[in-house]
Amino acid sequence: MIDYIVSALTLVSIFAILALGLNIQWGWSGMLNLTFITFAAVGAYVSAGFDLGPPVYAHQQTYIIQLSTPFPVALLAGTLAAGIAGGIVGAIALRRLRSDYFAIVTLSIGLVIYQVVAQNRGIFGGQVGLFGIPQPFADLLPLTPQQYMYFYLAMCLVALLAVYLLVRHMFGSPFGRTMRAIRDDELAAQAFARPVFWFKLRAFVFGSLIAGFGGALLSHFVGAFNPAGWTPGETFVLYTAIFLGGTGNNLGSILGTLIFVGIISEVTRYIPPIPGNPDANEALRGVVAGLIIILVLRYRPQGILGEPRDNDAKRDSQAGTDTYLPAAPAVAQPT
Amino acid sequence: MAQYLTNNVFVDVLVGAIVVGAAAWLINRTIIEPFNRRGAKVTVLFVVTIALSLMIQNAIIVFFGGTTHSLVVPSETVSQVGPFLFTAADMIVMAVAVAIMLAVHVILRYTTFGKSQRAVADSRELASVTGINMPRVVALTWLMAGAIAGIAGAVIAFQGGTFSPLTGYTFLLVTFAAAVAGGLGRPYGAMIGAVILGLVTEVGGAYLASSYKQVIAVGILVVVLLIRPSGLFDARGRTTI
Amino acid sequence: MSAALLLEVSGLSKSFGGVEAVRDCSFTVPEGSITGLIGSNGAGKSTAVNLISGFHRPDKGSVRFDGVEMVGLSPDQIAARGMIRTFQTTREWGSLTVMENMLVAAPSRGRDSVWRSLFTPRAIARADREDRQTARGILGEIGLVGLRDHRAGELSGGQKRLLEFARIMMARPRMALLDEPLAGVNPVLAERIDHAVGYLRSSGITLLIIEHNLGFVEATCDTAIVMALGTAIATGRMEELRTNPAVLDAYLGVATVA
Repeated sequence: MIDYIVSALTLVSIFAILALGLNIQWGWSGMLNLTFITFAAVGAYVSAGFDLGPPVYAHQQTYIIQLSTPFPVALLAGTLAAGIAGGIVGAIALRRLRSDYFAIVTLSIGLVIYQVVAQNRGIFGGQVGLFGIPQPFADLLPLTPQQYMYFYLAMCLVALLAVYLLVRHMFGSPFGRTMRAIRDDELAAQAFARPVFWFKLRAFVFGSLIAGFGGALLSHFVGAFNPAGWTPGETFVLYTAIFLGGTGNNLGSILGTLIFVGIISEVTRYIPPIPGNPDANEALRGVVAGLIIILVLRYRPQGILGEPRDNDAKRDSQAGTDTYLPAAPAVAQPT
Repeated sequence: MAQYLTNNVFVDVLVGAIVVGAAAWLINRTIIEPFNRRGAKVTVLFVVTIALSLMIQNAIIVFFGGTTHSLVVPSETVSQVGPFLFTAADMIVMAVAVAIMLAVHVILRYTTFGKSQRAVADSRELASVTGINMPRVVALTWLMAGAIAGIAGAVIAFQGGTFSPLTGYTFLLVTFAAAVAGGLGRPYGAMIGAVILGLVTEVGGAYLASSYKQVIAVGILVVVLLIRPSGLFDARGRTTI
Repeated sequence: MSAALLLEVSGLSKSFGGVEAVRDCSFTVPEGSITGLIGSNGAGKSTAVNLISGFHRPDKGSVRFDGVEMVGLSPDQIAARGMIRTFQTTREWGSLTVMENMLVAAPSRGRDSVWRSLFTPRAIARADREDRQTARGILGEIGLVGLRDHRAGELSGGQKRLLEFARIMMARPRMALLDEPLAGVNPVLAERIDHAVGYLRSSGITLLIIEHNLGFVEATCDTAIVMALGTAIATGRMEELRTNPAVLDAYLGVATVA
């Protein structure tokens, strides 16, 4: 039972990292990337390729990257690869700048990448995917398999904390403010000298980098990775988490992931399977996800936590600078 | 607005049209309208429709199973027109397509409803001010779109012989590509875009592996977006204010 | 004594699907002045402003700002060169607080790069602190300082309009194009807007104001440019324009004094 909880928590923390990345694209910047999971997959595959050696059973799996680098290098490679992919896809999808075009294009490109990878064994092993992915640091630490699981969980929690702190810092920075302004009103942002395309592209790449980072952690956690792990539906799991927790709210993304991925998904796993319909439980999760999104948007669009708000009065009093004129009604002056 | 294709198990195209059309109308009434009444942003509605399609697609899996189903298809009589071979099923599909295009054209151009639709597409505020019953136009448009989608779904199942809950997705891709390439919001552009795209993908698919059909469609989409972001037929070349 | 011409518009033309919105339009705006842009509805004033600020691309013509050609530049590039505009509807950043609106409006000077946020956080924090202090002063002058932690979307219509002025002040442009700042505004608010306009002017910002309220234009603007049917037909002080036959002809029956 404990093992199960450790494993579930690890998965939740990885998904929380992914949710934070998606929150940057959607929550901060208003970009509806419908194929976010693809970038996580890039990170997953590339990082695996970097630290997998040549396949032991060449007839079972083939893939294009076959280095044997240590895990940190692989992790970095996966993250960067996802960022580059984000740069390319973002540059194409942001051309038209209208939100529905953008969403459609991301979905289309994602579906195609999925098809290409799934049907070509030579790239990343096709439907079979990659397996036997080495466990990070396993050979350096004398741990039993059970202890290793705790280690991996700790590693993921540290990673989550790091990503969260990074994201929170950027949210309050001028960059984060500008992205939110662009989300609220692009034209006004342009009128105030912000090159909207470049900002959106930057935010897109930022989110993609985090996706790749999370994806690398995911493939190394499971030890294997194949198309079943990044079906188009997985992106919606992340969206549900973000909507639930509060779009734009970083802590909310983590909370939403915990509630949806951790609790609800696990619960639906326990519903007795319907005979003759093996996909039903998975599908049920999809139904619940869609329902949650609609209900949240209808009755509490800001999610559980709502978007954090700047508090200047507090800063003012902390700095001891609250010596300004009170808000008196102005009087018209003759010209 | 976002459209989605659903699949249904009814062989009769008419039943398909009615059921999906009614479902679409119902969805609009119960789910979409409350958002519209509150003046929700376009993106929010888009997300809602996506969430809906997620629910429906998965509900179908829950109720009907995720495997492919097959239909009984009438005998494969083949006739020859010029250098092309058509089965009876193919001819029916083409006839239906032409019939729908004509019907849409007639509705848009010659009926009061169609004119209201075009007015609303042009400018929502102006349309409601001139006395057009907005919610009604939207509701009937949903009905129409749903009915067409239902017919399309039935026809796809009919022609292909087999279908699964994932069939919708693959056609969604080509549909989007056609709509964007033709210029969103221009029905004639969408029609032409669909025909061109369909031809190109099918011909290309015949030469390359058929699994590359989608890749071609997206490839075209990408190219169009890069060189003519407003779509092939959209004459307006300005940023929206 | 004539001030340098900050804005020179010549031969500006733009058609939308067969309708000529702006037709061979030419005028100039001297630096440091307040100039009104008046004309009946459909005269092409807003379109002209859209063309000048880069939101639409003119079919023909040139726009020289401080001697540099602006046609072909994107709106953000033009804004970066010192020309900021408002829109007919207020365009505040709704989910950001009033203070955050001011901070975004401030010239960024490269501060919003991801790089800088990561590697020079202290410099950015310092710049932010300075901006906050400046913003408080401006908000105090305009009368919004008590609302600075409210989300901009929650403000009343009048407060949103005042926020537009505060943001412009924060951005310290060389020139501001105001699109009907007094449209649908009650007299009390009109006074505050009037004060805000004076505030902008006293900081040396050149103003070009589209307005229908001729009383305001007469009281506030040095000169006015009259547009009709897409082109500029006259320029001058309001007293002169009132007796200009071409102006009377175009404007017949439309004159309104607040």
